[in-house]
Amino acid sequence: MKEQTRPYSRGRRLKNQIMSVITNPYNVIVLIAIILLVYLIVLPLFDMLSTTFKLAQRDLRAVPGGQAGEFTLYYWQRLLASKLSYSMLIKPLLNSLLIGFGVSVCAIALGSALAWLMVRSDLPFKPFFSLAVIIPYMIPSWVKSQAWLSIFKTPRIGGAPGFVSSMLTKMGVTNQAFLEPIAYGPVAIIIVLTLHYYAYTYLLVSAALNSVNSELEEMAEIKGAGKAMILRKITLPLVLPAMLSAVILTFSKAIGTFGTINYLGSPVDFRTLSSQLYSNSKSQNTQTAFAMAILMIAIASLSVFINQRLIGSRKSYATIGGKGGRSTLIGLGKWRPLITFILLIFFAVGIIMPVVILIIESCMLVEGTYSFSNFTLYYWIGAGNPDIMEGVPGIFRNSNFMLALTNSLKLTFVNGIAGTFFGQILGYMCAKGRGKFHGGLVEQLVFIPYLIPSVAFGGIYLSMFSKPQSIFGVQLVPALYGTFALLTVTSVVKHLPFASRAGTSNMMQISGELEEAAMIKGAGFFKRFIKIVFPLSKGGFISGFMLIFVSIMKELDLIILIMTPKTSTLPYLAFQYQNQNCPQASNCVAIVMFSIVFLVYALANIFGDADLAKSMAG
Amino acid sequence: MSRIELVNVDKFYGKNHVLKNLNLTIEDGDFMTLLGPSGCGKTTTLRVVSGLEKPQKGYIYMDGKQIVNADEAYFAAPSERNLDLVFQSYALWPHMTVFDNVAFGLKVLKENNAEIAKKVASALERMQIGEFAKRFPTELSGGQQQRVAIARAIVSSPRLLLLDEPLSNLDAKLRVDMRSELKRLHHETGTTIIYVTHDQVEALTMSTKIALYRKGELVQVAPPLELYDNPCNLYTADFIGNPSINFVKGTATVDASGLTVTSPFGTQTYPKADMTDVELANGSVDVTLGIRPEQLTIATAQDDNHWTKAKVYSSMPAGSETLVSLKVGDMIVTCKELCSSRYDSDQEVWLGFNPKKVNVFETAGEKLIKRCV
Amino acid sequence: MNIRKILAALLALMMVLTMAASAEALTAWEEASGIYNGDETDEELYQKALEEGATVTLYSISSRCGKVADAFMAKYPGLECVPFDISTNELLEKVTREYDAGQHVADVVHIKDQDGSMYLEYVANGIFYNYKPTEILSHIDPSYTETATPLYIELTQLFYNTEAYPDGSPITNIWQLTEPEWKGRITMQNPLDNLSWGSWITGFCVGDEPDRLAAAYEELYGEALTLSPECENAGYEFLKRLHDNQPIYCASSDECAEAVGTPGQENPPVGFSASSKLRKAVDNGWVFAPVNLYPDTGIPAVNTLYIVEGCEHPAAAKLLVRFMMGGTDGDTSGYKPFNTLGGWPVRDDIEPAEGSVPYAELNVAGFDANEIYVNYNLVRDFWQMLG
Repeated sequence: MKEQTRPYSRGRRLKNQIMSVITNPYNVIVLIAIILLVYLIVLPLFDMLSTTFKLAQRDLRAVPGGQAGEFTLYYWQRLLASKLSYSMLIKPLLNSLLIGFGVSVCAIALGSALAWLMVRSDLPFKPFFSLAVIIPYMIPSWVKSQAWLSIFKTPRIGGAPGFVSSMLTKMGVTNQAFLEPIAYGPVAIIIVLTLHYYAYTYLLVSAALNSVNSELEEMAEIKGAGKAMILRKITLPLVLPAMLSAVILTFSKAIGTFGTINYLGSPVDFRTLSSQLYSNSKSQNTQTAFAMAILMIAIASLSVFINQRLIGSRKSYATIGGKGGRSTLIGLGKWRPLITFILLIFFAVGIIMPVVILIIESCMLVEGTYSFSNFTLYYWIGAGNPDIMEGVPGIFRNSNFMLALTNSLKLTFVNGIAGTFFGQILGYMCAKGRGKFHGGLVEQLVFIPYLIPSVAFGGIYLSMFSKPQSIFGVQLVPALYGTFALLTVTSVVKHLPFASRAGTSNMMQISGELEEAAMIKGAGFFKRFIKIVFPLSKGGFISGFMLIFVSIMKELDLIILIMTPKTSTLPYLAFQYQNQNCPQASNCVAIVMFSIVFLVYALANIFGDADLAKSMAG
Repeated sequence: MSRIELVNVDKFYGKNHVLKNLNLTIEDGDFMTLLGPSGCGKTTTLRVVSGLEKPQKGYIYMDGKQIVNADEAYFAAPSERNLDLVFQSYALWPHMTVFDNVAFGLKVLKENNAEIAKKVASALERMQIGEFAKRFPTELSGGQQQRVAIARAIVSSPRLLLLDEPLSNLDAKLRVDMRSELKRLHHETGTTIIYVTHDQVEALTMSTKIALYRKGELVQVAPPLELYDNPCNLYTADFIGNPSINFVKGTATVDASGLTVTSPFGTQTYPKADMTDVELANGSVDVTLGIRPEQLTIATAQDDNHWTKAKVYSSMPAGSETLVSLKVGDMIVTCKELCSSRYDSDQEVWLGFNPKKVNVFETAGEKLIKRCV
Repeated sequence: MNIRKILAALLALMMVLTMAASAEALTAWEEASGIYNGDETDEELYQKALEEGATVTLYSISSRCGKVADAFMAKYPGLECVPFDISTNELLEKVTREYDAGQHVADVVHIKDQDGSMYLEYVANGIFYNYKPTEILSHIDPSYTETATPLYIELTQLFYNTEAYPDGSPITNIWQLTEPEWKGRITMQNPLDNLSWGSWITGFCVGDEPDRLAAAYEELYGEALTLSPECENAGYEFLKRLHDNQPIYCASSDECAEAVGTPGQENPPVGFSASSKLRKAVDNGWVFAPVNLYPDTGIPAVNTLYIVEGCEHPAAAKLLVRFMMGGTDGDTSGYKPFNTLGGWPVRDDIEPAEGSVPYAELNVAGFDANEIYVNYNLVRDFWQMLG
């Protein structure tokens, strides 16, 4: 007991405190992670913000007496408080909110209904359906927009009319004005985006439903509640946190999307904040575009904030019932055939058709002519006929395609693995640090790249890493321009929100006691991570990988600036073919992309125990 | 094989004060049970001792060596404390076989393979699960998993073994088996054990000492029978014992010679020697008698040992014993008879007890003022 | 108006000063690359190119850059030409960021100077250089070479469906587009969406174009044009009326062409589209023809070549520029990919593609980089204000 009487020493306390922080690799890693995240995420954001306060040379003509690079409120004043504000900001903003809310409501409803049917009901053909519902996430939304137009396009805007319109004309219906609001504008956009983004809700809610013990529902049944009441009073509240979480993802994506708005909104001059942003960026109004991006980030952050308030302490609802509880399927009764039929139609129209249309169009010699003589496999395997596509051979005989394919595969696999790895580590921090300052900070930081427009993000990274990065004269990072490393850094950081989300839910499933048991045995942080945490998170690792893989495979905006001429990828090739007015070849590339994604997903599903739904929960 | 001393330990989770100035000494070779209702801080104490949690205040010594000094932010790592922990959930690593689970700690210590194999085999044998070495935890029953968890904890012969409600996930019969198994383990190894439970039967049957908790504070630390016979206050008296102790309100007068208690059970006088050190004002005080159900005896007719009239409220024979609820005035008391007997409802009977065996508590201060002797 | 005139004058002055300054003291790179020397021969440059690294990188807004590269490598064995097809905005973003970061990747840039910013921002600031091969320039109208090293000219033309209107265009005067008959039946791209359409509408509001528009109006309707209060000249008035007629915005120039040219339409729209879409008409089975609009079809878009400051392969870059401009030895294989329907050569010694209407016969507005540059923001904001 001698030591007990040893006087208190502030010096020893300080030394012990420092030692405990330094000698714990977890703390060190958290610290490094936060520094890196600030550097890789906050800095670009700050760069964007400061750009909006700097007068560009191109705007000297509008600001008499100005000097390029000097501080100015010109852009914000013009955006927020000028006679242009209404048409430049307010109206598009309202449209954005309309789309955001519309898509959120529809996607949540559709996704939840599908999730319920798939998880809790006795729906037939479940294996088929559960594979089919993920497909929309894999098809780029512009493909769906095109498919939409090929069905509903009206003669008014010229070109070949859509399927419905041709049918109507054949039947003698000439006044087709009623088709207009379906073909273009907000309704069309909301429908098409809903078909794209319901996957988020489906994934999140079905994961939550899976963890709800059906005994909870049975209890209510014993108490005499009807099916509708059980759904409303028991099931719905239990999965509400998951639904609110889905709202965030859907809402932020819906207000940020551009392609669909451009396709389906342009003909009726329907513009949103995202299309304004894109136009300004295309017109070299970088500052205005950035200012709009920052406003969008603010809106999305606000929705995250509101969401967190709404979810609050309920976050742990879904696990109260506990896993491993019995799950009794609910009979659909006499509705079963009808619901099955509706679902089959839905999948046929909403999911299979875009793919089929894409395939058919890739085999048409001349666009828009639906006849058998017009059928060709030239764009796939043609040897190079000077009359078609300016003599460029079909994609499988084309060295450019092979190069792009190799690059794309390399990029997606390397980045998918790197992104998943970092995502798991960050997810570990979010899970372990839940309710603590560092956990919250990491979670917030990691969400930001989700909201920064891809082109801006890519541009800023190009600038940052084209020069060697040094601090106090010590070079930390060499110039990465043109290296594969830069492509990797950029795509990994941009996809961190998904990766770390998958990581978090993955890590939440691993009980802390498993690690504590190893800690008692004297296993250090790294040993625990390698021997315990990592092997246990293998399944989640694969699902996380899939999420990123799918998304990087489709990526163009982000990496086009960072790419060098020799590192072109499949989306770039598709874009090039589109430029050369050869949509058939572009479609071929899109089909190849889709096939790769689908194949990898199917393989992961069969061999790797991957489940996208699981990695989205949490 | 190890003496643990906790001095003035305080632990907060946020604003939640979980351990309040805890002082507890666990002697070498003790089987110390931390007992209390859920949320009272017993598991937290265990985790603080293990090093998984860091207390905000206080000191902990292990065999005189300081392992925690919160003032100086010194916390020895769990692995430096030579202890092991069995979790309530067992926390078996699902991706490792039984053998690998048990061998993990030894591998961390980089012992040679032959030695590891020998030690693991011995630990598994001791827990009688030698044949499951190659299986994965999910392929085992709950009871077998439990044994693996214990084998994993004892394989490195820790000087201190911490057990966190290890039996709570087992069915009733297995639980009884494991109790004797654990008691035997303690006897054979002589390891100091700290055992957390909310089950008083476990505590009473296995421990050499029990520490009773209430809302983050220690109420009483005593050997099991002492705790049962002489609970230091009403809370302990009420918590320990199944069926619960009967509390009977009364008044008492205190004088130099001792204590005179008057209650529905008549008047009893106790000499000074039977009383505790609790200071009482001379004169009349409100008291509560604590009468264990097995101390009450029933007779169908009044005699010297049965002096209070009561009415049978209900009678519950259970083979080896019979529980009888009785009404004394408006008050209901429980009596446990160690035989099979039958009473009719509303039957009139006479009750009595050995006055020396009952406890008397001061109602206001809840403290024990008269011991059972 | 006055301020803008002064601004324009100032800009012109600035340019002159920049030029003068650069003539006085050459930078190290200017010295080494001999960027102002337009008299080297192809053979000299070829040798130098082989010595300096034997490679050259071309950033181009045209998908045809791949063919150019192939032809270049065929003609100059041992030299590698790396083409990168990228759209205008990304090209500028990429090239400026690379330049700022000291990464000299692009040697030659092929882009259109539509709003004058290439010249007034990039050339004036010494980021891009207009290489002037003397012999080739002698075949080009000096008005084109003042602010650019021109490659070829494209137009934004009005197209009509020849199947629905076999007797010729239903529209000949630009003001007919503002008539009720064409309400909701004109396709074009949203001028807010990109630089080229923004510049195109600006072209109507500057120089003598408003006067020409006003005259055309009077010619068509026999009365003078009345300007709305918010319109300061006939150009703005035209844009306002065009906007009021609710044009249909297409996502791309191709879509505009397709909307007009798809056969089998009962009541097809007319539409503005890049003249280059003409070359795709046969491939796609489109039935359309351009209108030689009166008074004109707006400003031309001149495709221009620049050499990037600090580039590591100046000799190869010069050689590539000369090659793309059609060379001096009669071998025009470098220009050939661009010599298609809808594109007009700037050189007087190169014939336009077969079937092309001679450029001289087309009604085109004058292009003044300064005027467009100064007024671009105002006109874009004007269009934005219209809703």
